[in-house]
Parts: sequence; structure tokens; C-alpha cells
Amino acid sequence: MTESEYLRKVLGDQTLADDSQEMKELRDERDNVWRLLAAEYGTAPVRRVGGSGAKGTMNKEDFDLDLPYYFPRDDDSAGDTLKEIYESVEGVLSKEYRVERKGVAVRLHDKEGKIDFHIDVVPGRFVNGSDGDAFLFPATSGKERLQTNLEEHIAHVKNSGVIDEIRLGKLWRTRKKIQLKTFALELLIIDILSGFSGTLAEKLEKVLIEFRDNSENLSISDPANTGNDLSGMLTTEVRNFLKSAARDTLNTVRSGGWKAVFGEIQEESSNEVLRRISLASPISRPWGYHE
Amino acid sequence: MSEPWYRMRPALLEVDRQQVLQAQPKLEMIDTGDAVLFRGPFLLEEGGKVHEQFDVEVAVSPRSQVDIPVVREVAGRIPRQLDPHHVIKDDGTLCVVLPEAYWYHYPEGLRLDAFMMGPLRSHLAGQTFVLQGLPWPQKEWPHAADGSLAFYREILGADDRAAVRLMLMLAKGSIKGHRECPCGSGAIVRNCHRDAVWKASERIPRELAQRTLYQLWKRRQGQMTPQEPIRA
Ligand SMILES: [Zn+2]
Repeated sequence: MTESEYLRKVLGDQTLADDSQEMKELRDERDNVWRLLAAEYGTAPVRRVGGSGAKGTMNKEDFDLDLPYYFPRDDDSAGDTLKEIYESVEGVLSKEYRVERKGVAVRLHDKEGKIDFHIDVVPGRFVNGSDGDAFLFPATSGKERLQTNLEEHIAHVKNSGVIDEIRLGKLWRTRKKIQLKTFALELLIIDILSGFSGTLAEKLEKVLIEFRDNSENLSISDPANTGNDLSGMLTTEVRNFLKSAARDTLNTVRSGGWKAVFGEIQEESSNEVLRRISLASPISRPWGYHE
Repeated sequence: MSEPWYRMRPALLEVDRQQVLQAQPKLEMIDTGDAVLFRGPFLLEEGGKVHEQFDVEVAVSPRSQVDIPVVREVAGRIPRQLDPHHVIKDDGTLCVVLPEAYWYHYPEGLRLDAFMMGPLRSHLAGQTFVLQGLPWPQKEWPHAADGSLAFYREILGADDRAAVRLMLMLAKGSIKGHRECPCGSGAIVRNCHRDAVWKASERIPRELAQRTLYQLWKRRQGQMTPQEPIRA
């Protein structure tokens, strides 16, 4: 097995089936969030779904669901300012959840604080009308507002051609406990690999070499908003962490290959493969007569 | 019936043949004069390993290049039982997809190779579980008209009566945004199940709704048992 084949096995092992318990719970919780918000604000705000599920970058070990919830420009049912909107939505969610402020999002936990649902509700308001760019409230940064476009960001990631590399990069970040936002990591990986060709293993290595050798110069710009420099997400601490973690991993790969980094993967049994195949088509659902 | 498409446009059939053989290299195309069939072992392969295989015969639909083909398992491995195998007893046809769901999901239809590597491949993988005495991994539709009824219930998220109301609208071809929504909410379609109702009316052939309504009506007359398959 080549290094790239091994890495693909890692990805296969990290894939969450659509009918898995994790996915079901995530969908149920999402529906509950929409119900809760609709009861308060009606149907005018626009509900979106983002996060790793929408981008195809979901791993078993790190998945998240972003639920942008944007008010039309002229809708003030949650308040006038972005801060008021954020706090109003936060208040509604806190009826059923323990809420945590996380950047522009409200992260949901159960009331006892024992379960992290991996769901981030992102309140915001459209810049114009009820579509396109939105203003968000960066609750934990002290800034006044942030302008972004979710669709463009999702499309940027989905069409990047480096989804597998992103998934592996996220898994690496999670295992190494590096405090770097998924959003930032995705943009870094896409940027580093643009114009670089090679095998999956070579590309992953390229990303880590860049982290190791060039951590001071990494920068992030928002694909949806060229004027938006997001490099502030890369604090000196994060840069140093990336550098040393990448150096350790590259040394481990030199001596023991990628298997020494991500570990042994259990072979999928034929029944597991067939179960996955049986669920692959959205309309495969046997019926009682076919003309 | 008019001349089959593959008689009028043999070059298109040749393209399909090449694509099918690329997807399923052990199949062979047979032209019997009456029908065009793809016959042979259908491989459930992944990662360079064949996990299972079935001998099948796939009859190309004469109506159109993207219509649902008729599929049979020909080695007798799958018992000809409606339950639990979803196989029609007298001719061994596998009930791979519900036509309403097929057109709703794929308004352009699927080319033969895409049908084989999509719904058919998943269906045969599901059969391997039923052969082991296990339940279908994918959900099942109820049989006959009840399957169609369940489909409309699902897209509306409502009950049988709502499903029948939608079928009546589709059968008549009278979809208007300002009519009352078939779900029974009292709201007009435009403000309620707009997407589901529109998609259903644009994509699902009207005859399917008419046929299901006819079957339900006949059943009510006591001429038919609920489990008897629908015939066109
Ligand atoms: Zn409705």
C-alpha cells in the first residue's frame, strides 16, 4: 500500500454515513433549532446550512454544523444593531440550550453542559435585501462587524479540488489540539496547494512543510471579500504551534510513514462496504411493482 | 407504440453500450430483435475487490434513453418473493425504484450506466442483506399504490388525505400558486408547500398520479387486494 492509499483509507475510516447515529442526532438537533427560532421570529429570516457537512469535509472525529440565520436588511424583529440581533438569537436559543459565544457564532450545548452538539448558529443581517453578503457580529473579538458571504466560502472550498487534503489537515489539527478555526485552516490549505500538483501524501506533506518553514508569513484572505484580511486569526501563538506540530509530524513521517501519525486502520468488512453501497443512491428504496 | 429510440438512433445506443461496459465490464449487450438487453454478472466492486455479484438481465426501455429499465436477476439466487425481496413473482422483475421518486429526484432521468451504478447497484447491495435474513439497509416503500401514496405523504410531510389531494391536482394538471395547499394547512400553495408541489407537477408524469388514483379507486370498489401489484 502506498502512502496515499493509506491516507485514503484514513479518510474512508473517518467518513460519517448519512444514516449514522451522529448524523441523525445532528439533523434532529438542527430541526429543533429551526423550530425554536421560527416560533420567535417567524419565517422571514433566512436559514442556511454550512459547516463540514455542506462542504464535504466532514470527519468522524471533527464535524460541525454551521447554521447561519440571517435577517433581511429591513427586518428589525430581533433588534436594530448586529449586537442586538446576536443577543436576541442567543437569548432564544438559551431557552433550550446552554449557549457559548464562539467568534461570530453561538455554540450549542445541552443544558447540563455535558453534550457539545457541534452546532454553531450564526446570527447576522443581509447587507442588502435578503440575499448575498451578510454582516455578522464578532461577539468575542471586540470588533463591530464582519462582512462575509457564506455561499461563496462554501463554493470556494467545494470547488477547491483539495477536499481530501483539507479533511486530513483538519484531522491532524484536531489530533494535535491546535486552536485554529476550520475556516482559517481551509483557506490556508487551499492557498498553499494552489498550483501544486502531486499525490495526496505529497500534498499533505507540502502543507506541513509550509507550516514548518513559513509560519511567520502565512496569511489568510477572505475569498468572499478581498478587502477582508483574516490574518488576525493567526496569532503568534497559533503560528508557533503550527510550526512545532508540523515539524514533529514531518519527523514522524520520515521515520515511520503516515501510519505512525494517524495509526492503524481496521479493514472494512465486505458487509460494511455493501451496506455503504446500498445507501449510496438517494432513490434506492425497493417498491412493489415496476411497470 | 412508436419505434423504439434505439432503432431510430442506433448511434446513441452504441454510446450507452460503451458506457455500460465501462461501468460493468462483464455485461454483454444482446439485441433479440424485440428487445435490447444487457446480460451477465453485475459486480458489486469497490477498492479493487468484488464483494458480491448477481447475474442480471437489464432490458433497455424502448420509450426513452433515460426511462427506467426493467431488471431481472436470472440465476435464481434471489427468491421470487415480493416480501422481503421486492421481486415480482411471475416474471422476476426487481422493483428497484419507485417511478415517482425517480422522476422527482432526477427530472432529466438517468442514462443507463448511471442507473446501473446508482439505484441498481445500491438495490443489489441491499439484496445481499436480505439474503442473509437481515433487513434492507435502505428503507422500503410499501407495495403498489401504497408506495406512491407514501411518497406523496413524505414530500408533503402530511397524511394520506393530503397525498390524495396532491395526486388529484397532479392528475388534473391544475397546479396554481393561489390554490389551497394540498397539505390541509389552509394556506395557499405559494405560501406553503410551494417547492414540493411545483417539483411534483413539473417532474412527475401525470399518468403516474392518474394510475395510482385509479388503483386506489379500484381497491375501494373491492376489486383488488392491497398487495396486488399495479399494472399499467
Ligand atoms: Zn402545505
